[in-house]
Amino acid sequence: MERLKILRSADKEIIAQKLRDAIGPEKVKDDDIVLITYASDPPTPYRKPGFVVFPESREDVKSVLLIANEHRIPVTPILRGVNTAGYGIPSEGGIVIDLRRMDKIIEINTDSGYAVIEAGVNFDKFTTALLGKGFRCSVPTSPGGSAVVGNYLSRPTGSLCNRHLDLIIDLEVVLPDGTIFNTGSSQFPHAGSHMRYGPHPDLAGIFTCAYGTMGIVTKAAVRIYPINEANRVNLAAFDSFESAVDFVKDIINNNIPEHCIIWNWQLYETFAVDLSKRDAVIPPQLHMDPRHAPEGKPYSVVTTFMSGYEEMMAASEKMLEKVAMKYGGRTLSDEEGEKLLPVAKAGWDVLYAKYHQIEPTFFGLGRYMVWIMLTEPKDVKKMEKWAVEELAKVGVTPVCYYSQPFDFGRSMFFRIFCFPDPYNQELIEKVATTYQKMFQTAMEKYGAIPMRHKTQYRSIQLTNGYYEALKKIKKAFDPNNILNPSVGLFREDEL
Amino acid sequence: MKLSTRLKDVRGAASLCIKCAGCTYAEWPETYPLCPIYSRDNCFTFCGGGLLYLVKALVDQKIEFSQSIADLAFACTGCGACDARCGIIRSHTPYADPWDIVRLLRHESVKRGFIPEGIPQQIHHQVRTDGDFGRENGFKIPGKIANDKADTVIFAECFHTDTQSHISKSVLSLLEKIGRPVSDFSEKGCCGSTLYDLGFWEQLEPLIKTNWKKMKDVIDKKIVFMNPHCQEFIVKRYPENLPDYKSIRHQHFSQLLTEAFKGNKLRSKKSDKVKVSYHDPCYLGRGLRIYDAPREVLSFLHGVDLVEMERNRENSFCCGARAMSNYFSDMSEVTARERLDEFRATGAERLITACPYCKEIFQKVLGKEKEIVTDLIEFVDDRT
Repeated sequence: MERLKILRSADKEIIAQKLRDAIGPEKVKDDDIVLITYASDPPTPYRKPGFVVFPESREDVKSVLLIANEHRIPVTPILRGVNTAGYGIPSEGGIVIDLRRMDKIIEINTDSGYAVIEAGVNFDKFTTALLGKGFRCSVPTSPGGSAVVGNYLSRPTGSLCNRHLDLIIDLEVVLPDGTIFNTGSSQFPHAGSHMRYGPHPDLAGIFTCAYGTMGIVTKAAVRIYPINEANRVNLAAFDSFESAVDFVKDIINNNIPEHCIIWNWQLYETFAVDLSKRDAVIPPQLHMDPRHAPEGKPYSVVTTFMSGYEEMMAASEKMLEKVAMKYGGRTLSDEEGEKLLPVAKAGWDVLYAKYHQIEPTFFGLGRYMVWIMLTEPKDVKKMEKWAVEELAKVGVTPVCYYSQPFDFGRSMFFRIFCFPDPYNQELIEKVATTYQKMFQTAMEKYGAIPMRHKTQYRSIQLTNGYYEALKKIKKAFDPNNILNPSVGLFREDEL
Repeated sequence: MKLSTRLKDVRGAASLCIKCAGCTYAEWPETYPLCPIYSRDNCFTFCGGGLLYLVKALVDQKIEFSQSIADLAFACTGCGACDARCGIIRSHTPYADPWDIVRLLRHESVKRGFIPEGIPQQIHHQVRTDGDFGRENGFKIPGKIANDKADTVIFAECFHTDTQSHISKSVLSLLEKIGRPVSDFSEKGCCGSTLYDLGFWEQLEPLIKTNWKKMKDVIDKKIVFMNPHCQEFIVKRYPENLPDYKSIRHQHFSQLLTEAFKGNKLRSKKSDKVKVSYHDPCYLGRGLRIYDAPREVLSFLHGVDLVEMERNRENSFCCGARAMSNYFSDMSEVTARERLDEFRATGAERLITACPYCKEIFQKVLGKEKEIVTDLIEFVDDRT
């Protein structure tokens, strides 16, 4: 495989002209001011791209890829740019393809239950459009400005991920050699995007959690769901995380919730942040020891989201009461919920009952450092205690965490995060080192797996035959390895 | 923001941005575009968050100050939409709103000699020469209501624009109609608002200290402002920068008018039908959160039918008056045109605003049609 090129200034001029000729000068930027603002995603180091381009169609994307492929220039696609994980960091001198101008909602199919949207559509735009149609989508705990397609491609946590983990049905993809294709049923000339899995291998999976390394997704059909006659956000309180997990598994097995989330006491108290007070500061609870809930406060609160006919909701709520008692907990009435955790309750009502991101939620506290793992229910109970203990040893605050079932509770998602002082580099590095050690231990001791690719952990993430098979696909799709090499999923010397 | 703040002090605040661009559009579910520069060029660089990343890169010495950086910083209209919309709270001190960080970026550019050509250079020359920026305004309270002991003071320190002079005439006329005894504070100099926004902070500090000293005789009274920029600056920035600042009672002239209508001191006399739309000035609306008073005033005027533009109140779109056009050509005019298109879509005949700068740019862009724009104060004067 030929090495990627670092462009000399003369080459850069030639490439700039080619890009401008291909997609129009107004869609190509190469001045330092723009380039430097696309160069970093704290705390990752600066990598200044050579160009930022703003395609407005899949043909524009194809044109850019053909030029990049011909000249072996690395390409980093970003959809809206919302990122805290370093997946949108360009290669030095490479091309950033910013897809934010491709933000058309092409179709909302209320008969079948899918929407076809361009890659740059954000959640705020999408949820607004859906509400007008009496539909909803899985809403993640990311800001409303984040891209729906990018989020769903990373197989995220979301308001429906217990029942609906795969949110993508169909993708439109552009490969470096200019091939454009659809992965789902719309590949058939007369069919819409109603079906992901067809008579042949599921290619959409190759672009899921691929971070733009396999092809550039320009359009997607995503699942949407009708807004039912009634919905409920039920709250159940438990004195231990283990009981909360048992409760969640039980109600899932009995087909009650669309989704559940287990909140630790700090997070349920502070989930939504009241920004109307301009002198707001980080809530003091987040600086307290997460291992010990204050007197009278449940350690964990489970939010159970349900929707359907009114009669079903009433019957399900009775069942929740019964099951909560079975595990030593209790459900909270609306009044109790509003009294115990008024701001969070209001926030969950937005997330679940209005089908929209809470503005602002914990990301309103700014950039955070997060540790995420997936494991089986029996293991998450042990992992929670251990993880909280490990982070407490670092002494970083504020800190909080939550857990939720994926795919009917087959796997449990666990996410702990902290907001270290951005000026305290020593503490930031200490947290990073601790996370790295925790990562390895969780895999070995708790059978956990990572949720996302992390460059620094790649030696333990990409192992055995899986990586060999993946490399073969990569070589077929992107033989020059131009697609998002900075994310570190593939190393040039290994391909 | 404290005038002693340096760029490195806000690096932490700038690094909290998660690039969501939520600072560019209205709160869900409206989601209207709000940031004028982002509307002009849909690129992350050209929004509050992008400018924060630019500041971070400057502090990290990944890019050097240049005329282009200064020109971009001065292209921002200063509408404050990013401040209102940014979800990052004061989680790490010293916290700063995005628009304040842009002002600081302007200041640091100016310090290095990068001042955009045109109005900024003219003003900078004047403040360096005179230590102030303002001009005689000739504001004089009519004898029958002038009373130095009155509890109400009209703040009329300087008039930067001719439109402001015209508005002041209506202020005096209305005060006479109301018959309310007032005094005035009308030095020839600037309150500091313009210097603060343009980053001319070296000259600003002594200016506001001097100004505050002069204001000592009026600070126990209620101060009524006709220019929201002066009001916003004094009530928000003087406390941050003057150790001896004492909280003042303050009111915008639209609030005084509301009281006058409610107390039957002012009555609507004309009743011909006219459909109007009201443009929320950024400093009066997002800056001071005064949205109701101007609308209430209009509701007291017979025959006046208020039709809202799609983007109104918190979601109002800027007029563009304070943007410089050195980075993007005609930034100010293009922004004003977008707002005027929205006004035209309402079908209203008159566009009412409550800020001299808004009126000035709208009139400039409208040319021969300029008479359709008027300030609230002038409009009320005409119909009472």
